[in-house]
Amino acid sequence: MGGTEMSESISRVIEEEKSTVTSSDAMEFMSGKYGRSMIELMQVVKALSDSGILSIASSLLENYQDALSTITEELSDGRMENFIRNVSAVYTLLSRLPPEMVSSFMENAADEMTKGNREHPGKPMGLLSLNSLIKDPDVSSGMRILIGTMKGFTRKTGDHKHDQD
Amino acid sequence: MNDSLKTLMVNGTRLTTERTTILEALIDSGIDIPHICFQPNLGAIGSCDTCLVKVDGRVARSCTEPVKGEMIIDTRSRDVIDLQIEATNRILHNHDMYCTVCENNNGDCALHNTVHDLGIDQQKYPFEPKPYPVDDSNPFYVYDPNQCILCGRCVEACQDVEVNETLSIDWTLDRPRVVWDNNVPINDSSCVSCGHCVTVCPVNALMEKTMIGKAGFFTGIREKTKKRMIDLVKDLEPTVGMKPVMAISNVESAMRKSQIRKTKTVCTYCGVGCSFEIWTKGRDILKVQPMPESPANGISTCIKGKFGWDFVNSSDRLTKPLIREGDHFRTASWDEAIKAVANGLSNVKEKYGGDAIEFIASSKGTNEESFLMQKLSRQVFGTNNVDNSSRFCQAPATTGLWRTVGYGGDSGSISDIYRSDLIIAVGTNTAESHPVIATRVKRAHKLNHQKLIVSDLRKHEMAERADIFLHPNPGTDLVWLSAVTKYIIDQGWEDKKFIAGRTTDFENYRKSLEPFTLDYAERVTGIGKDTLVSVAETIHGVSSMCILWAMGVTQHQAGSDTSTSISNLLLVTGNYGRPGTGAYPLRGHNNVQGASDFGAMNAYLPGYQKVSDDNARRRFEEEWKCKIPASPGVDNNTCIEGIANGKIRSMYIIGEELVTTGSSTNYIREMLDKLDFLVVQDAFLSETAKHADIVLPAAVSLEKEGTFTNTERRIQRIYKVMDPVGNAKADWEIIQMVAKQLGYDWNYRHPSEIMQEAARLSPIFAGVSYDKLVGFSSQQWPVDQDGRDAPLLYESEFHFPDGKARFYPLEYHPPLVVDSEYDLHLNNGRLLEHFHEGNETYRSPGIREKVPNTFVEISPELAKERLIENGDEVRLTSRWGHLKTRVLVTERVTGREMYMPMNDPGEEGINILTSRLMDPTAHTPAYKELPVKMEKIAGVKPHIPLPITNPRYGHPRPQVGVKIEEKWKRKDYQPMVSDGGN
Ligand code: SF4
Ligand code: SF4
Ligand code: SF4
Ligand code: FES
Repeated sequence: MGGTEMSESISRVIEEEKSTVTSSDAMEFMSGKYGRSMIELMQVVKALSDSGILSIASSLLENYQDALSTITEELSDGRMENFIRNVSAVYTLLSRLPPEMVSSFMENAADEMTKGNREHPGKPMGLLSLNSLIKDPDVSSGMRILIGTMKGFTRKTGDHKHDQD
Repeated sequence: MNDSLKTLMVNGTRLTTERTTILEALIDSGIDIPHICFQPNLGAIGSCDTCLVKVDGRVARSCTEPVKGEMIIDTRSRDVIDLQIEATNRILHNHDMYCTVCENNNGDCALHNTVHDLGIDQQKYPFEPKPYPVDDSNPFYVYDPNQCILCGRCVEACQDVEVNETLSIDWTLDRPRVVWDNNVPINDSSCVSCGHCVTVCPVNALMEKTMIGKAGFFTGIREKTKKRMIDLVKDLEPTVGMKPVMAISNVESAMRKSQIRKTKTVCTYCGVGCSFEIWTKGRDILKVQPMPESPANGISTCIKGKFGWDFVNSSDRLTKPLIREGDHFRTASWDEAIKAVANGLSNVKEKYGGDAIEFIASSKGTNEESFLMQKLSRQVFGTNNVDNSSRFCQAPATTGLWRTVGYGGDSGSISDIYRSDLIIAVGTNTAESHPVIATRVKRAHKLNHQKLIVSDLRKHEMAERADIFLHPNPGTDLVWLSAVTKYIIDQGWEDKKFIAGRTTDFENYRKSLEPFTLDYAERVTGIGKDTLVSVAETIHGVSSMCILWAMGVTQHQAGSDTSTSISNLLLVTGNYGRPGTGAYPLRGHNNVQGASDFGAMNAYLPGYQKVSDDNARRRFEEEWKCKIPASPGVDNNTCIEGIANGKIRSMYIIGEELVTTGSSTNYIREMLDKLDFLVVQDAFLSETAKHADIVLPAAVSLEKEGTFTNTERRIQRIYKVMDPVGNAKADWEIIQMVAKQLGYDWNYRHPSEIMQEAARLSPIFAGVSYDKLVGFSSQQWPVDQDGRDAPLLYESEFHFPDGKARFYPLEYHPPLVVDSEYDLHLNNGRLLEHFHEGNETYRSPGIREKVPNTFVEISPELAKERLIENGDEVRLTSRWGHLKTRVLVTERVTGREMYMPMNDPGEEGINILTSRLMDPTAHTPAYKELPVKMEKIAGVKPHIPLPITNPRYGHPRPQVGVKIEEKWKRKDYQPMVSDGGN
């Protein structure tokens, strides 16, 4: 640039005091004191937080009034009757199935989940795994029965109502 | 009874309304029917058919159907609902509903809500993708054609609200879509990134990039996963229906409330005072959403207010106090820093007196902070040496208004500018410096036959649009304004009744106009006599006129006089005190108006009470238990000369980048280094701060509470969006810490308490209170005790003891002009994308991409004469400094006039060249009087300084509205209303 010298203009900043403790300092301190279990807990918290599960859970906690009222509103809407009925029908259906059939279904599902975790280490079991689980032919045949049942229920009650004046 | 009240029978119930359309009448009375393409600031578009009702048995769009007396309206019968469902189903053909993973699922998605409210459970026309890729070329927002429901809101906003005229819907395509210019990628178009279109898009087709992946709980998942989830849900949908899916997304949307905060704030850039909600998740800024109830701007913003907030979380923010130690700063605790500030200032006061210290309040800070800064200077240091940046821009305009009408502020509101018959814009590049005010002028000019006269050196956008464009010789506006005024009087076209009843000193003034003949004006200004006559005739032909001006007028030695001549012309023609009339000096910074209003002025106490007024002074002295000098202090421009002559020994500067925005950068640097003690309080280590002894880290607007006052005198609250970064603190807290350290018992717990004190001491703020300013509410001063404010001034009297306006005779004093050595005139000012020197805006990567550097605009004639090519590097030299910059050859400038924007990311800013010349009354630097010489620097590879993605290269396609008739003409459009397509 042109013109005058700027002897007095300075921009170098030197940190004089170490005022903040870094998170790894904190980890070190904590693990020294409480050992392995603390580290594990931290890892779990981290995994929960990375996966977004923590924020979902904390949001539900912080905001449970709102979420709850929305859920209630949704469920109490007359037009949701079918859905509620379907859900309870599925539940009833499941509870009536022989226990060994349900448990093998659940085991399969659990296997799938752990497999999902192995295939994507560090990645939480997300809806993706649920999706592939559902697309698995063994599982989907089971699902089809359920869905078919739901379909039956949907048809039964016919069209939704509208207010007329 | 009110004539405009009409009665309707709606679903068997009687309803009275003043509204002009049925939809508005229904919305007003709480009858909610779908209306996806309707948005109140845009008006009816009529593209979506979801608002269908029966009117006297006939099917009609309620958004366009005018209210006439005694209509019978049916909004609820089965066949009406079925029509609304059919319309919504048609829309779903163009939109993939995946609400739970959609960034727009925040409770305000018009489509989601319509599907939910109509209880649509099965999609009649399955979604079919459009054969176009997502366009994410623009740095700030994305267009996803697949999600676009062709409602046309964005087009209406771009064509007729922003009036940038970039967008249209190409209805001739097999699958229509929104197109930019002639169907080019967004970043290659004329789009100025104002964000209007994104703000109004009812779905997620236009989306801020800052929202993507952040808005919802599931929106951050990988694209592939998201797609599979969507597929899965779609597979299930025909079986389970849409309702359960909608239910889940409603729950997720409600959950978002816990992590997305929406806080009302006011833009911290220009003086238009746009307000909006800012959406944040922690410190992440998700988006800026202007609201229909935003009083100054409605849904409007410009690129800076909508997308220019990255500076808030910049890693360059100051987070700790700094103390100079030899060749570096060291960080310090607040305790140590405040003690050092108090000691340093007290030492200077003891040795040289309080008048040896200059206090500069920030024009970007709040009113309350400005009030406290002047209180610190007056109460604690016993000096009137306090000022703010209005000295650098608008003080001459204020002087012109004080001389003639009494109040130093816009005499009406932005709505008056919009409704006026004629706008004269003098020395204001409104579309770039006050973009949202420009939108109102452009819209009124395009749609309402408003006339526009522009006087400027450059053929900028407003000049291009003008009915009459005047290009006077630099610094000669006073002459043409006076000549036109004289011509009007000579023709007997003056408003005789107004002059006789509401003004004084007309005769003297009339005589003073004698030299300003048309011949003289033509000689001095270079504007032809015929043109001047047509200006006079245009003024004579309208019943209301507003004059807008800015720094092209004020930053001259004759800035105050030219501002006065503008006010004289308005008085002669009776254009004050009526809707659609008045004087509008467009204020530069967000709070340059408020900083002055609240007393950071060397000659005025808060509320424009003169320091020489014994009564006013006494009131403050009693409240503050101190003695205030009766004579004005030193202002923030002449204090530089004050340093040179040893009178000013110390400065306390808040937020003003004096070094690069004051005139003559090199000289200012030299002077700052002579100070005994310099304190700078800023969000960044500015060029000014680099000279300081102590630097205090300041919070930015989003990190504190307070009020700003915009150019219309409108006081608006800002709310705290997030905590200050690091250990930064709000200016008001820091000033209070300094006062306390010096033994003064200040105990403000919240800015509202400071406002209470200001209101108590200043009649023009008597009725201002935080209770009246909740949310988007605002008050325009003067506000009387009962809280009545003043959107329009001077309706019955002017602000003088006799209530009459005063004509003010003037003489013309020529500016500094070019000579044989410094043979080129270098005009300078703002660019749309940056604010001022760019201290904040350069920290937005997108803005930096659009305008990375400064440059000098030269005319094709000059380029040819000097054998200079676009992108060449040149050295510009004035009598006061020299710098290097790149050339942009453009027809915006002509002949030997050049233009250099004031933004600069490095150390080659325009003010290296400017002089210490100033307006003798207001002491505003004559930035615009700048003769320079130019030489090409040989051997440097050309580099065009304005990237090809800058909107100035675009090709807008003006049209009115969305051209919905073209949709109706399409073969695949089945009319739903009774009278065919429209
Ligand atoms: S100029 Fe660009 S951002 Fe502004 S409304 Fe038009 S297309 Fe949208
Ligand atoms: S992009 Fe434009 S036309 Fe498409 S949905 Fe959004 S506002 Fe409507
Ligand atoms: S810079 Fe001015 S016009 Fe742009 S958003 Fe901010 S206040 Fe509005
Ligand atoms: S709201 Fe009336 S047609 Fe869209």
